[in-house]
Amino acid sequence: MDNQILIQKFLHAELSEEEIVLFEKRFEDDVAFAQEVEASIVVHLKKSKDFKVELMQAVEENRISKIKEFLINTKHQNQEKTDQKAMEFLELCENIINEKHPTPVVLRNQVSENTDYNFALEAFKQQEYELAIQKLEELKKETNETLFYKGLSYLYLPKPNYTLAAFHLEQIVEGNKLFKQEEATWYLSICYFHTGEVTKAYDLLQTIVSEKSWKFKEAKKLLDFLVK
Amino acid sequence: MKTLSLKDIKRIENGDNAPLAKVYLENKSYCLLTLRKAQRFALQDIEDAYQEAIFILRTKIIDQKFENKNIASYLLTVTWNLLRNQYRRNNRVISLNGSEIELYFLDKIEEDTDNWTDEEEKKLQVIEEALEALSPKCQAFLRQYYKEGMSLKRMYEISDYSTYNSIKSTKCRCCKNFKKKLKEVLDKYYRPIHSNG
Repeated sequence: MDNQILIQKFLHAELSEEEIVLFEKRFEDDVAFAQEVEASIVVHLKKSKDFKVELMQAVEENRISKIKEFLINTKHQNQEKTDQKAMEFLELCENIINEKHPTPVVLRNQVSENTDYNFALEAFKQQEYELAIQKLEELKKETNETLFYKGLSYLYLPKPNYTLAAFHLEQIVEGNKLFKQEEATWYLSICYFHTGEVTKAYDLLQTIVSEKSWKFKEAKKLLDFLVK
Repeated sequence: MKTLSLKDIKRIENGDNAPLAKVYLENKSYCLLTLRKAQRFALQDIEDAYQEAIFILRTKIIDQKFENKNIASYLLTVTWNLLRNQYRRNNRVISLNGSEIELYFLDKIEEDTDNWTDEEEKKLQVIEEALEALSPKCQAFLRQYYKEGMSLKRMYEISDYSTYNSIKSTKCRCCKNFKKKLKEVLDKYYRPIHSNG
């Protein structure tokens, strides 16, 4: 196989495990081949890094355009008004995230039972969300509570990761255990607005209002903002 | 979305990233959840690999080498392969064997650490963390045995052990625990698959 085709297959993760072993062996034995591989990796990494920045910009634009699209469909407003309204709506959602959810109280007799979890909660309380995520990831057992605080930690990062926040909260909402389900539903709806999944977010808000569950008044305000 | 529309393929070929942003959002949860459930890869690693998979998709479309197949399955396969390769490399980098551990204690530990490679530093960190996880008695024993290069016979002569056999069994027990802790530390930081159990 031509070297460039082989290297591209390696960079595109298209080699089988056996082929990778042979590739690595050749990389160690053949200096010219190794240099060719290294040069290709440098070019690939540079292009990939630049693209990822562009991709995230496109994702951000997609998120705003989805809300605009929703507003146009529901309120039949003109483009200019919709632009402003979409930005105002996202600001509202960001204000909700800025009001941090309280950390649960750890009872004295629980301290020695699960030190790692308490350590994660302490990090959450101190707003050290990266550390909280790291500690929660290390726990072997995942419960609704650990999923909830991990989801919120992703949401509260200085640069929030809405998809990973939603990933954890969805598991609570779609699961059959009720603990933290109402809270998770509320925060999940906010995440969905940020990931551009506006219809799903809207449906969750409607559920919150109709069931009068946690934060139903706030959910009503958001719905009103969107449809009135 | 099952396959990409011809219109989206054309847009991507012309450098428009909007269809890729849509693909990214629509398939991200599926890929994350499936890979997380199948193997407990770190989420951040899955996300990075998933972005890389989108980049590979774009490259293939631009090079007109993309066979328009089920997009979710394609991204899942590429992300999986990228993670597999990444973790395979990490595993290899810090694999440790018995003679290497002895070498670290006997030859390397007193050397100038400024000249160490990343790989050597990683290995030493693993060894030290595993050692610290042992009982103080085992720690002291292994340090004497490996680091100070003391023979078992000499250790018996200067210790409070009542019989030579008891010091032999201590060595056996401490080495066994040490190996177990080494495995745990390696699993914690470098292995791809973390068991749920």
